[in-house]
Amino acid sequence: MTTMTKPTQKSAAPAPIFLSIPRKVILGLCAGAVLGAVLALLSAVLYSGGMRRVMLAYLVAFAFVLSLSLGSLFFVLIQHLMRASWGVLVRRPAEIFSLNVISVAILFLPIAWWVVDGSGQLYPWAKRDTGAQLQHAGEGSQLTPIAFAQVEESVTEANASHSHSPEGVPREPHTTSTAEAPHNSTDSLYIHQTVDSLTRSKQGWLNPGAYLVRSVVFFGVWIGIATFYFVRSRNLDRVGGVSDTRRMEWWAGVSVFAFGITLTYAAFDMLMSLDPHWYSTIFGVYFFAGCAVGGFSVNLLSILVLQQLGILPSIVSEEHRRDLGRLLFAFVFFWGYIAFSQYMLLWYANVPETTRWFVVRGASMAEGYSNSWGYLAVLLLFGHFIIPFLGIMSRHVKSNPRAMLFWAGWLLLMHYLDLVWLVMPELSPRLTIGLPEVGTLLFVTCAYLLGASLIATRTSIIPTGDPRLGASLAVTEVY
Amino acid sequence: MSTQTTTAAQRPYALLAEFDTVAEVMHAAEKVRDAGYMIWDVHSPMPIHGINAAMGLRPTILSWITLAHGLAGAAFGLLLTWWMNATSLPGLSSSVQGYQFLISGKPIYSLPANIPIIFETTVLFAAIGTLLGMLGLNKLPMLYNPLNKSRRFLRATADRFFIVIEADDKMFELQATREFLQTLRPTAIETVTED
Repeated sequence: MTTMTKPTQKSAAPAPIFLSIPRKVILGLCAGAVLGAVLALLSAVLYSGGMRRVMLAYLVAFAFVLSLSLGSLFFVLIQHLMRASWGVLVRRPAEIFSLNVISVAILFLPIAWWVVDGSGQLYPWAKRDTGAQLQHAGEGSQLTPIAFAQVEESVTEANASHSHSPEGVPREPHTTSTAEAPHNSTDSLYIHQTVDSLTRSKQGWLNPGAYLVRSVVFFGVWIGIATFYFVRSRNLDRVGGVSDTRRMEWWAGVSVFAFGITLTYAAFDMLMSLDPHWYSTIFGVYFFAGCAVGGFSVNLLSILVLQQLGILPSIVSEEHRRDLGRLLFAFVFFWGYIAFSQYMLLWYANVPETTRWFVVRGASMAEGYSNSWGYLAVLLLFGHFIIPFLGIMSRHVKSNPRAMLFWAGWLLLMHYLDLVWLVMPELSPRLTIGLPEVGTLLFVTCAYLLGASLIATRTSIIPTGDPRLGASLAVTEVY
Repeated sequence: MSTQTTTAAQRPYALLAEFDTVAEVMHAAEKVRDAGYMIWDVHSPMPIHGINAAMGLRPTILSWITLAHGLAGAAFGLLLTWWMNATSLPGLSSSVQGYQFLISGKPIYSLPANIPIIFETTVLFAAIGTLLGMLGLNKLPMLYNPLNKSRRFLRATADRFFIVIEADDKMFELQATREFLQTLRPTAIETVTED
């Protein structure tokens, strides 16, 4: 348990520490972004799946950096909501990353374009309906939701609707040759990608205009909250006192509400609607769990790296680092708990249009439906949950900077793979991670880190004016 | 102690040293630690930060007790759900065989459906094990403690700090330990007897 002693200032307030990010690092990030963009565009030509695969990979990378900012924002909010004093010393990196949601908003622009351009390549529901296609697709999918027991019967209709869709919904060209997945059953799993009656019934919510309006609201709320907390906290550095702290605490409750609702609906819009037939009410929580794991990892990582580089002094002690490790540990388990909750209910109910989502992600042992995404699902079960859960459990590990450096990096990787598993199976039943994924990830993360560097260079990485700084410095542990 | 009262009444239970301030009791505790006493304690009206190090306390083994109970609970839950759903052993009375119901086409024993049960038994066992382990490590419930006889010791809940070295300690010798405690400059020293 960590408790605070009375805020007796046991030493003079520490001096502000400003990062001076070397020119080389900035140039490296720029070069990385350019290289990533080139690789991604190149792979659109070279790889099967073409532009659609690059779009999906870009969505994965975008969701990855978005989750880092949202996880950091969550950290900042709960600090103020709970009037926590222990975390004051380690709050600044989270504030920087949460304000960096501005960069994420800029990175959202290509996705916004792919939604309005009417091709429906990224989100099937965003395809612009032409009358003829609409009618055919409607007929072809009259018996949706497709019961898996009836897959054999529905195959002809499914194929019919496929062949009539203009410019072809990009069907995976390799499925015919896979031995373990019969062509018919796998193929019919992807017929939802035409706009059918079930999808059309949801188009009051899922249409490009509404999507864009909601996205503007989401980013408006996030940028608003992040800016408020960043500006107030920076203001404390200059003027001190308690009035800014009081305001931040007062707004924390409202902000956490707005944060939770926008995050949930953003997860529905940006990730869940890739399969417009599918719905899972817990999906927002699932994405939130990933946000928390990613956000806490990246904050712990920046604290550890800054300390290893000798920039952050040892006033950020073992106790602070261990508390960050505990939060990470808790949310590793939370992710596993939520992921399993989602899986078990859908598995038990066995309703066709919801189990389809797990079937294309390889989490099915039914004959003829297994595919190679199952390997990634098993990797996530162990790599994102069981192994780190056991690995970070011990307090000795949590106090070891090198060990936590490894685990934070590991969880970031797993969090990215989790998003890959959420998105990429919509493209094809074959597990492939290659140039499009690497290129988009490189581009997006480099751009994201550039934004973070810009914010960080003008900000002390220790909030020197916070009234609870003394208490945070004096954090000790009772066991 | 179930010995005769006449002898027990004379037997010392512990030596009690009283201190006025947190700083004094902290420094005294460090000296008791360095002198090598093992069975002793500090009593204080409020938590003292850093007292663990001053007393040389090692981290508790309670977490290992919790882990062991959690694992036992997981094993119990696994066995329980498997036995009740899927056993069909030849020669076993039907009253102890499993109920083999086929539920929505799932295998007779399928793990996902039983994870919640296993999770709950894990948590239950770990929680009960932690509670009982804590009580056991603290030797609770303890209905009687000779320290309660000391009127001076009542102030341990108000405004005084105490170091208590028990007679069970290997290094304990009434006279020598009393002299040692004198060197710590307490405000008072008292011998507490058993019974």
